[in-house]
Amino acid sequence: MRIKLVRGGVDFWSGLLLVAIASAALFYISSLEIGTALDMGPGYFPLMIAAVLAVMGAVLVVRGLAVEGPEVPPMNLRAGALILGSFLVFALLLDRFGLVVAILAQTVVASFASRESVLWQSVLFGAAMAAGSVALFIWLLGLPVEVWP
Amino acid sequence: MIESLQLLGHGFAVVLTLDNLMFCLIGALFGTLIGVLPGLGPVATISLLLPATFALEPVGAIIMLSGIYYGAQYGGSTTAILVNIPGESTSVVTAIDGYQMARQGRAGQALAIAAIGSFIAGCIGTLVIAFAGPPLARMAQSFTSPDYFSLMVFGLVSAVVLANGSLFRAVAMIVLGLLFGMIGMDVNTGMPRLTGNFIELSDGVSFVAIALGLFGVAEVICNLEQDISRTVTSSKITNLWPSFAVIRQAMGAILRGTGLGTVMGVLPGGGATMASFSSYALEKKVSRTPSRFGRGAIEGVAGPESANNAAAQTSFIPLLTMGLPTSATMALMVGALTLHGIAPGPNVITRQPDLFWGLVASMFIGNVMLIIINLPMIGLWVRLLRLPYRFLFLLIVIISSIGVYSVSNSVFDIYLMIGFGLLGYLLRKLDAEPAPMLMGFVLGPMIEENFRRSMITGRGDPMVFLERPISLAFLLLSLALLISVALPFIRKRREEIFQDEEA
Repeated sequence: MRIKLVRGGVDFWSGLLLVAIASAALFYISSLEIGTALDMGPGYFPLMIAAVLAVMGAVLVVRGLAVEGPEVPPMNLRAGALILGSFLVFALLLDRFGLVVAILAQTVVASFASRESVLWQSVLFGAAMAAGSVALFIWLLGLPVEVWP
Repeated sequence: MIESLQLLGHGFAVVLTLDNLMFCLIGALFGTLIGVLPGLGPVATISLLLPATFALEPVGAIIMLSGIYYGAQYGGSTTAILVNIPGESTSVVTAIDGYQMARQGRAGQALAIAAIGSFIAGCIGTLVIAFAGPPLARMAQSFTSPDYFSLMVFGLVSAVVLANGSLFRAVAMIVLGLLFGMIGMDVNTGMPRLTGNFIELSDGVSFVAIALGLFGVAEVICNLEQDISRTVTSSKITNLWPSFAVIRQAMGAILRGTGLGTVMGVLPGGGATMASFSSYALEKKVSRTPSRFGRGAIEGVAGPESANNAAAQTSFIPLLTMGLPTSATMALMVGALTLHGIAPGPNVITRQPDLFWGLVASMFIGNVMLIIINLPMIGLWVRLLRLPYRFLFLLIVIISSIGVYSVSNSVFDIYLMIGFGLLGYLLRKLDAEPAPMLMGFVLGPMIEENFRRSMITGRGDPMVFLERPISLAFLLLSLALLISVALPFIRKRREEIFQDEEA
């Protein structure tokens, strides 16, 4: 019989995530002045919060190891990666190639995230979105962004 | 009383300008639209539109954003009744009897009663704001720092009650939100904290980036994972004017729902969703023929729809009188007010009378607009229901990109949004709700400020929180709330409610 180390996946991984975030925060807080209860420095309150978070995360990790619990549901990495990637594409293209190119590129990348997408329809929709965004955000609201490269 | 009426008259003068009427209409239209569309909730929409309201006057901006919120309660019922998919979480129970009515060819009746109930509840809820708001604010003006600290703790604890799933994890989410709220400059010393040497973070994490990431982006990814397909009942909608007998049958439920919703909206942790669930349970209990429920009982539509609207309205009371947001949507309103340079709190009513009374008056007008938008124009919304999600999600991602960028014209905020999108997605997978986290984020800086001030007045002794009666009362209330949620039988009830919601 295989020995299962992690019994409650949800507890274990959420705890680990919280511990990681709390540790990162504690690392940055270590360079701040803590002060005393009467004369609190900038680090006092964050230290309290981060410590509580680390303890709570640790409790979850231990519970995940010790107690049988629900498993992490399967993730569809494709949808997540494509959607997040599409934002990255937009961010990278915006300053260099202007709003229209950035919107079209984001639509194309994002449309692969849905199985129901039809590429030419998405592109057409993206073009309409680009035209609408230029009218609304640049002409009407005066957003300082180039339209074209 | 008389004074309130006079000031309300002033509010109508503020709203009845062409600009503000237009913002009210836009809010109501957008609210209905997102209410009708499943997969797009008020929290995501309000954060999408926040950047666009920068150019507006604060009054116009807040009128529009609140219109989206209560408008969504109207639109949500349409989808629930016609498609059996709740457009909003607040319409989950409406779908039970509403869809049965639609299948029996009584869709028109259900839609009309839902709209009429919402209208009555909306108007009564707004009246409650107008009359209960000013005295409550006067009371809150005497609060000192320890009182405020404890009030905010109470608000955060209530957010836990709202959260789905594990209590412990919900508390952890609040703490995580508080920690993100610490990022940025320390107000007392001007030292940058937790910024990792990013200058962009010295003003704190962009509120729009965190809200859009947690709710907009993460929701899109989750929705794309499960294939959303929907079929609209093809039957023609007739009988939009219900007979007098039907109205009389529903009136009791409408009034009971309104009362219940009004009270639950004010309570932190109550909120529109809980109000509609409780109202359905209440109607089933008081009915002489409970067996009709689930088979197209008009009371099962009238009660919850009235309750969620009344609660949507009165949930503005703690925000506008004490600066306490009671839900993620209200946390967004805090963000909106702050971005316009208004600190939510007891002074809003006296210092910004235009804002408070204008908002209250706009709610009456918005409710009138909504009943017109929803009843005669119902066909248009039904057609919109057919917009496939493969277009809707493209719309959401592009508006998110441009919106988050436009707040401070910085690409950095887009990267932040990607990060919070990923975090929000992971947290959903790990059975942790992002709503308490957003509340923690918004309240974090205020809590710290009041904590530090209290500790100075208390000379470094935390007993200061227990010595003041108001502060002590809030802390005891928080403790009672936490214990009650942890108690086995209430916990079971709560889980049942959320199970229903998921089903």
